[in-house]
Amino acid sequence: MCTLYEMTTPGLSTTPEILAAFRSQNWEAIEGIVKQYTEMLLKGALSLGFRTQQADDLVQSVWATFFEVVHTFEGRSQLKTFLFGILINKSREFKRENRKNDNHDPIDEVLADRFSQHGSWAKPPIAPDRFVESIQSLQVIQDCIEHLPVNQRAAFCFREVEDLEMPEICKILDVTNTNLGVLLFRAKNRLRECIERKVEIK
Amino acid sequence: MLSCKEIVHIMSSDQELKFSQKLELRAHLFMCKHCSAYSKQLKAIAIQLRQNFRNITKTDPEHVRDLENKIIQNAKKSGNSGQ
Repeated sequence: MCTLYEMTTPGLSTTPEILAAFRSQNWEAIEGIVKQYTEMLLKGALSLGFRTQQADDLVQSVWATFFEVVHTFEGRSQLKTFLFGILINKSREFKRENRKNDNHDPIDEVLADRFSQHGSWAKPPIAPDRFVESIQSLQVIQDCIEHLPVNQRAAFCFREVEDLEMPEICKILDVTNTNLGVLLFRAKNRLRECIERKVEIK
Repeated sequence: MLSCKEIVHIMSSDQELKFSQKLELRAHLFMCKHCSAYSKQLKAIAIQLRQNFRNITKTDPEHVRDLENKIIQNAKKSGNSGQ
């Protein structure tokens, strides 16, 4: 996902073309589709925190699911959006996360505690110079991002690294615009709190 | 007037702002050193992560080709594509 979401080259593009290829078992066309999107999905898996073998397994299972459900593809979204949607769901399965956990996140209270009743800072953030200096060491920020749930990590990644528009991300994650706001809010604040804690320990 | 808490909420949840809200956000950041620190930290995180992701998403073309072939073989074997 990150960095190469836009990398795909033109191939079969219209929904009827894609569906026809599968219905008629046109292997040349099917291979073309696999070759067009596999690298993008692999990069997506890697950026969601899966390592080599696991990333490969994940991408294979995305395609296996895709082949099962391709007849339900209605072209309301682009093929890559559809594939990324499957990637997110499979990632959550692999990490055994479920949607029940989406409702509550302790970060909401952690952040609320930083403010007074009137909404001014009670525990202000540390000085930016120190903060910036320490995140330049790769490990600090990487450790922190590993703790994010898949959907928060994906939301952050699509938005901040891929620069995708909000409606596109909503389609991939299958959430409303308000929910996407909540995911970004939690992802950013979890990252910031986590990094700040590490800086303070140092 | 928006409170610091509200400003932080606006900045982190990335919601579309009206022009007047944008102006208020900018004025607030100019005057409030804590919110300005918070904003700088968020920007630094995004910049650093862009770099990290460039590194962790590097793939080897040969490996990708192998993976593609495996996927195609599996699909042919199960023969369930689009059925």
